[in-house]
Amino acid sequence: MADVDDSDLLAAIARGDEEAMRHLHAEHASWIRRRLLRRFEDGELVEEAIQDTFMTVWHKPNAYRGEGEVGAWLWGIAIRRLIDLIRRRRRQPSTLVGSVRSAEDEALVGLEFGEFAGILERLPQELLGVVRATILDGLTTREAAVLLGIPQGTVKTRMVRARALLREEFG
Amino acid sequence: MSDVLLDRVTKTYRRRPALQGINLRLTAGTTAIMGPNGAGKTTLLRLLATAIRPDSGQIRIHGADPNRPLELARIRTRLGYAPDGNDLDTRLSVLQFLHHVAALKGLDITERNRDIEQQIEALGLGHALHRQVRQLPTGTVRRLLVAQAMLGRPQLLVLDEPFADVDHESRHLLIDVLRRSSDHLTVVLAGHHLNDLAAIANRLVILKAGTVAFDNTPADLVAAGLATTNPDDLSPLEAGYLAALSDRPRPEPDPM
Amino acid sequence: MTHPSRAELRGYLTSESSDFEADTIEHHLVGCSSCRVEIRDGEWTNRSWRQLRTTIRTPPRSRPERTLVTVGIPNHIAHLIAASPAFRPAWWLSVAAALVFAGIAAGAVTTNPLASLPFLTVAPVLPVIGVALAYGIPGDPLTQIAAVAPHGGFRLLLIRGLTVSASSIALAVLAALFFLPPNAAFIWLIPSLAATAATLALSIRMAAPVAAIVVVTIWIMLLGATTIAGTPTDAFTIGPHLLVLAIAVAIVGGARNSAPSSAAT
Ligand SMILES: [Zn+2]
Repeated sequence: MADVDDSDLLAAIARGDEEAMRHLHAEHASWIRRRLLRRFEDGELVEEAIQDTFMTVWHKPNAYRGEGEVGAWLWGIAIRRLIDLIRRRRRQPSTLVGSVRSAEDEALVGLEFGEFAGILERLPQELLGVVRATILDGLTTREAAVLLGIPQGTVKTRMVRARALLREEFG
Repeated sequence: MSDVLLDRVTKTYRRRPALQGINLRLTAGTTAIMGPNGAGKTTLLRLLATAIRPDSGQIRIHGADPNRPLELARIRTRLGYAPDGNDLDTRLSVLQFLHHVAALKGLDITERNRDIEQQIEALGLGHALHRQVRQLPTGTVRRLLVAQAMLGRPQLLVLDEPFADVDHESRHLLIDVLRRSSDHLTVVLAGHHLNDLAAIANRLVILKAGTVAFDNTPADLVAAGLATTNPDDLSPLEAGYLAALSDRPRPEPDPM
Repeated sequence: MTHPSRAELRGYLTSESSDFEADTIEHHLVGCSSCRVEIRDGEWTNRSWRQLRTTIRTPPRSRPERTLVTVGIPNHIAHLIAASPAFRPAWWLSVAAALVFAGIAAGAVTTNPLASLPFLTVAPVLPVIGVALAYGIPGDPLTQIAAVAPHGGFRLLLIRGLTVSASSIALAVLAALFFLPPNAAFIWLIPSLAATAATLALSIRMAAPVAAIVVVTIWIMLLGATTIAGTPTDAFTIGPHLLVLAIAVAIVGGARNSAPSSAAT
């Protein structure tokens, strides 16, 4: 399956090819599920998020613009579907704002990943969750707050502290 | 009990006789209706599919009389009909088409999903499900027509030209599906493809100008072909077919 | 690219790896197909796919269809009604356009009831056209399949013809209130209903479009004759009788004639 290009699969899906959809699902569903479960332990909600994710892909395969890995694009959809579901369960208004990942964060992700993850490891546990949600998973403050179940303000103050610590590490 | 009975059936279109006194008894298994264009194949199939009624004569399908409204309704719940769908021009996708026909047949959700899944599998339609029917190659359209006919588990399957212009893969699948069906239901199909039809039918009926010119097994047609002088190097089957259509006096068809 | 070892991947799956390892593996999985295969849960994937496939293979219901199911109409009937022209915007637009033009033509002359004739002529014709469109194109394979299906044939024509003609009559009522003087506003209604019924009845004997042409012809000829005679409003009293006669002929004749689709041959 590795020899079939994911973007070719998306093109085939756009033509209504169910077999291509099966391949894309087989390739990606399992790792995305794992990764979601590591962030949110409700298996039922995660299953639903996976179904929603692939239905979104089925209806709008052209939303992938050819930028970056298809895997990263799928992950972006999946984590947002999960957050939507969490939000709906908590009956919170579902308004999405654009990503607030700053240029500084982009520079962090642009580092050799191993190096970056190594620095992260030295952060206190409560800051790590916030950094993972915003920088690694690319969520907004609001989305991170929903996923982590903490107020938005807390996400913001923790991010300020985390950025300061990270700056020291690079310093 | 015979499944389908035609007794002295005639049908005339605009003063042109299409069928003239047809007598047939069809039992479970596959019967292929053959003959040149205009011999009455499609008219015969449309009669069996209850799309038209004969001008005179009797038809019984599983003992029911299509002239009586209640019996007609009973016949139709156990009927699968695939017209010659060469010009099937619809914006529906394969899947929507199947669901639409299932609704026309009055299937409930469970039956509908079950039968549709089964036919998609049997006729290899998985790759085409979400494409518009009008954009499909002929072979796939023929498969779709057979698939819709099979929905609702019919006892009588009436197929007009299922093999016309089909690709190799489609022919293969169709032959396979029809072979398996003929154990438990009555299949009547019309076509021109002598070899394909002889391969799946246990009975051949050759029509000539609205009358039955031959009615027996494919093996019998081969035997008839072997008995002829065959100057053109035809296969025995082809020679038998031509002999059946020639003007020489023919023996009375065997009553079955 | 350096891949995580099997042991590391296993550790990730069993949640035994450190946060650092897990983050690194997750980052790696985004772009590495061979490691994705390595951690794939085949059984779960199959189950998840079957569920997804069922969703994909269930055609979405249109809004009218959903509404009909909600009010308790059986699924398959709701589907068949919703697929009729009554629920296509093109149908509503053309009916509305025809009524507006006829209404303007009527209103433009005077408030004399006779001047409303363009409107009064068109209003009964629209539902008849609706019935003609309700069933499908004669000779089309899908129409042929529908003709011999248990819920196809005349039953289908009836439920669709009724929804389509009801939609156009409803629009005509609104248009009549707007365009016509009160004394002429509804004299078209009875001919309209009679024409619809006559078309449906004649469809037992002939293809629906042919039935529609017969009914429209009867209607236009009657209007022509009464207009020449100088009493066009008579058409609105004679018309229904004539059309009821057509219904009777169709039903009596239909008993000995062929199935509804036969005329499509
Ligand atoms: Zn790898």
